[in-house]
Amino acid sequence: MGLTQKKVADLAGISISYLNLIENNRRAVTDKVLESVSVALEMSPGQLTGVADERLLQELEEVTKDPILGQIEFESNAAQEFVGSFPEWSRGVVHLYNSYRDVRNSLDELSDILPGDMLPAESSHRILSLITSIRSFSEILAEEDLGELDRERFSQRIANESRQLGEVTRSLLDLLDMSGTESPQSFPMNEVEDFLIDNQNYFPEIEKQTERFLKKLKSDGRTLETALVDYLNDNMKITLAFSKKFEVGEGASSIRYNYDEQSRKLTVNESLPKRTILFQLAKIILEHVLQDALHEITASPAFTGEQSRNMAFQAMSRYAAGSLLFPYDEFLEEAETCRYDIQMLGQHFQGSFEQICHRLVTLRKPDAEGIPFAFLRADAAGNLSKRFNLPNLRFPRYGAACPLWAIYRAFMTPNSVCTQLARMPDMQTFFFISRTVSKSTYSYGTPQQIYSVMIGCDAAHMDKIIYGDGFDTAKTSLITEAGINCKLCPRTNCRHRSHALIHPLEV
Amino acid sequence: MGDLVLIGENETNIIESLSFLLKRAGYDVAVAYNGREVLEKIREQAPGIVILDVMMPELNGFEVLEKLEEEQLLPKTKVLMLTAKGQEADKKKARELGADKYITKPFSNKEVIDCVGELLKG
Repeated sequence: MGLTQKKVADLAGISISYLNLIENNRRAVTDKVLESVSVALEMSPGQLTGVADERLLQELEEVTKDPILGQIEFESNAAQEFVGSFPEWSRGVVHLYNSYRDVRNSLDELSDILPGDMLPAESSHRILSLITSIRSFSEILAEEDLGELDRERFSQRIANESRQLGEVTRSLLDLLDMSGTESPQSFPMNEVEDFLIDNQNYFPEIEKQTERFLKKLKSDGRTLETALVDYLNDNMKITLAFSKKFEVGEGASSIRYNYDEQSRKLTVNESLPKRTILFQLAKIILEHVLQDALHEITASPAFTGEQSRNMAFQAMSRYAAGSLLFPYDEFLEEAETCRYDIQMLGQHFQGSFEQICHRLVTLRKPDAEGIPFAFLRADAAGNLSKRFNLPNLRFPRYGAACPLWAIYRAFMTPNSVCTQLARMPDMQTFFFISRTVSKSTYSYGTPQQIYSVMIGCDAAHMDKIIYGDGFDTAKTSLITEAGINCKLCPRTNCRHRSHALIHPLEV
Repeated sequence: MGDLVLIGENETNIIESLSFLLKRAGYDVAVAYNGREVLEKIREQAPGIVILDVMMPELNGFEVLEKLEEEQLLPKTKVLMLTAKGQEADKKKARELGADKYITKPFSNKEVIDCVGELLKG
């Protein structure tokens, strides 16, 4: 700017030595002085204090951490230098990145609407244009007073347009044929969720093998707990130890369990609930006992990479643990007897609310099927995970769900069951049951992990569920008019709307 | 000048059939292949009516309507929206932005010609 220090000090009405101290961070700057200096330098106070730069820096660092740039290794202070040296370029990069994210989010949400059967917008527009012109040319041709030359011209056009229509339709069919294959950019978690949905979250081979294994474990009358510990000891040569001394810090797993490969010693935090320890033991043992079956399932071409295969292996071993602790036939019978009372099932089978809900969602054995439930979990920020859809109830894959859903309402009344009869815009009504679940914290200052877990089914099954007592689909006052999420919801007058409805052709 | 019809459409086959029909009905026809060209031709030629497609390159039909409104060109030129979008929300948007009429594809020839006639008369 060509201003000397003296000039700035004069313009700001302060001494050079005071300005010096401020510049070197040796004096705190008052609001009044900040304002005078910013006026003198023709800069905003934010620019002077670096607040604006700090925000830009955070945004730019977020850009560098996006998986799309995963291949590039950024030096630790590169973003800071970039912002310092090229603030306008930095703003440009952030702006471009935000635009990319917006488009990406819109596309993801669109793929949620009808993933398999939505026509790509461009093709559908092209098809409609071709149909429009064919119709128009045909109507012209049908007129009696058309000249010979025009008749020939329009016949030719119809032939051309029909051929093009055939080509577009064929390419579209090719595209739909590929709907079974995964996009190379699909996220590992999505692949696992899709796989579970494709298999209705029921795996007969695992059920069969865990049933056989359970019989073997219990054959001599030991309790399941003793039998599992013995199996770990005798067959896997792993000793189990309980400890109070767990390091508190990063890595929640180290707080809960620790396995030392060399000494083959599994140390478990003894403050964990018994059901959690039992579940973990069952999982570890079944990963060993059922390894062939588990590897066969995770070798499915549905998983495109090592990461998704590993995630699937974990998901399937948790499934196996659930099927061991909550044996299918016994669990189903008990569930029907107590009318799907999750708390009662939890007591009977020593399972947590979330574990019981997970098992309820797997009751899809042909000829011995429970109520078809969907499953969903949300964290306190509204992020969704562990989605298991029903064919007529599709959960949003990206972003949050409808804020009216019981899954969010449950956060308002922690640890108590929240029920809801929700009607979707297509007039289908679902019954939702949700509750918060939390993981223990081990020290002061450790943020508690809290989630809301929800299962949902078609309202037609409500009379078989204890939580449905008192609800009536005929009484509109008991029904929440909800949607899937704002961007897909046509209820334009909803007061809870946080995003505008997106239109497929506007992307 | 009132009998000039501007076709704002990027699909040449649709342009060809519309041009044929409109010329035969006695109108002068001008063509614009994108939103920007539509604006330019409306400014230069002040057509009595523009048949405006929503899905157009550069500026879409809704954006063109906004510009026309800004430049106060709408009273002079009637707007017939012609588009693939049949949703109520789009019709409402078109009406709010000042379109006089809205026809969805695939349209019948008679529907378009009747509409043009009505709008020019009114």
